[in-house]
Amino acid sequence: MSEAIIKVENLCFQYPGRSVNALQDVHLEIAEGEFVALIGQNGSGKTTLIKHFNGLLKPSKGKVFVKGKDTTSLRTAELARSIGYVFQNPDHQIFAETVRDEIAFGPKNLGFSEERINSEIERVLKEMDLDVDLDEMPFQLSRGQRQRLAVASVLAMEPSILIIDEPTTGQDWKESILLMNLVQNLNDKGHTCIVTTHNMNLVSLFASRVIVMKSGNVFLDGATQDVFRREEELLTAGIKAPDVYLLARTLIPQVQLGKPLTPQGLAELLNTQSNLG
Amino acid sequence: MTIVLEMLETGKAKSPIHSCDPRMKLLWWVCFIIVPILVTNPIILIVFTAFIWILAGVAKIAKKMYRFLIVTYPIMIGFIVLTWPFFYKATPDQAFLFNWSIFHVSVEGLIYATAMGLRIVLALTACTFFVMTTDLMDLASGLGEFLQNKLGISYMYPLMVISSFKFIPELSGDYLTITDAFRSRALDIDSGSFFQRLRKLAPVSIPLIDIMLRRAQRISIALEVKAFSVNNKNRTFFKEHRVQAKDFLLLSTGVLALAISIAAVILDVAKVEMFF
Repeated sequence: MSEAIIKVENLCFQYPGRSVNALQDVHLEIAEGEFVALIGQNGSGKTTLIKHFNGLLKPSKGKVFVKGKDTTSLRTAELARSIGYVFQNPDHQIFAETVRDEIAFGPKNLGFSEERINSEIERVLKEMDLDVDLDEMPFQLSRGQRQRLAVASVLAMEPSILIIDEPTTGQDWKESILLMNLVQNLNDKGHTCIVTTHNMNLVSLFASRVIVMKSGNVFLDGATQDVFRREEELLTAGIKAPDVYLLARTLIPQVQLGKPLTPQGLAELLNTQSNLG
Repeated sequence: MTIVLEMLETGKAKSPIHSCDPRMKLLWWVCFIIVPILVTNPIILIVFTAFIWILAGVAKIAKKMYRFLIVTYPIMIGFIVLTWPFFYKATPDQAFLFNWSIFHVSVEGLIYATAMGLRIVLALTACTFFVMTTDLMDLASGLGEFLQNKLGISYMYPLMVISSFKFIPELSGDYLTITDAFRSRALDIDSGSFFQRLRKLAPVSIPLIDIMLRRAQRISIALEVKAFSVNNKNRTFFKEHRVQAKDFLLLSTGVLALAISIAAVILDVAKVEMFF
């Protein structure tokens, strides 16, 4: 297993003015190149946790290390070189008059040269499958295009870690799959990807590891197929496993899943089992 | 910003004073704004200020009020006490502590400056007490009901005020999210001089304005689909405001304070000069 690119030790966090810990004694490590889905019901601490990764929040107790560096001593702007964070609502970050300026904003802040910025713009537009005019106004793009533009704007800073907070909110299935496929491509190229989402079907299709948050703690952590098989426990965390796992448990409970399960995968397993039988 | 939002939230708490009619509290507040205009006698000002703190105890907001005013009092009083003595008119019969050319500080000037500071203290205390015991949306609603039913003025105007109060916390939340999004794109808005940081915040305004405009449009559509503007003349209200005995009791304290101030003016004991 690769070295941990993100390390969280005894993390506790309390929002100012609140008496309850939003995060309670969180320990976890994320290795380089992983595709992690962070799931949990609303208020479980998902967004609070990922905001600690890029320094937007600082621990009340405990430590968070990114690439070996303690985030407490680093500003978010400094951590932006390593961690890209895409917010749930792309309209919270779009401000420029043109697509070009929107994408160039982050790299300019990091001091990239003009040449490098132009090459980054070209690269990320291709990576995000954004077939738009560079002089187009971002606000006139569709919701799905604005979401991909938000990812592209962050990607242009060349972060090795990409955090995307609920990327498929308000998106239809086609746009959701398109975006997640693009994120998968980035992961295949070596980016560490962390996605928070409520869409368990997408988690089962794309993530290799699932972390379940419950009441500010890490409740379950493991390979996607192993976590989703623990349906009763997931229910206590307000999560319903994808139907394909529930079906697999009913039809082939004895079979060990070596990888995340898809409907096609289940069909193959059933075929195999019936041939063996 | 957090302290201001906390103050506005405190207005929604529960206590005998919080449950008083907001319009009567508004009149009470007006009384205590007029008092420091009429009176500069420090003894009267201190007594009235202490009285408001007692009311704050009854309303269970004394601690929160203290947290806010402990910062504001020194700033207000300090500024006045440090500057006013230099402007107090010098006359030969004063007890001068310092006197050179046009610059002078006298004992009378210091006493006068303290009285000016206490006027501000009373006004500030009354304002803080009013804001922290009044749900401002409730007040706007109550005023709207009064304006429409008694004066025939459209409810649109108080609704504009209510909408502003209601969406301040949401706008504040959006602002924080947007600045976080820009921080995540390596915009270092936390370092540099005040003007440098202000310049860096310029891009933040655009998504903020965009969100405000979209929200305003959504709200107006939501109101229209619920037939908001169908009947402006005989509008009823979800919450009806009724003045009760305790409202008159609270108002009477304000009226009494005002009456005492007027009496003090008539009896020539309202001015700080009586101590010179």
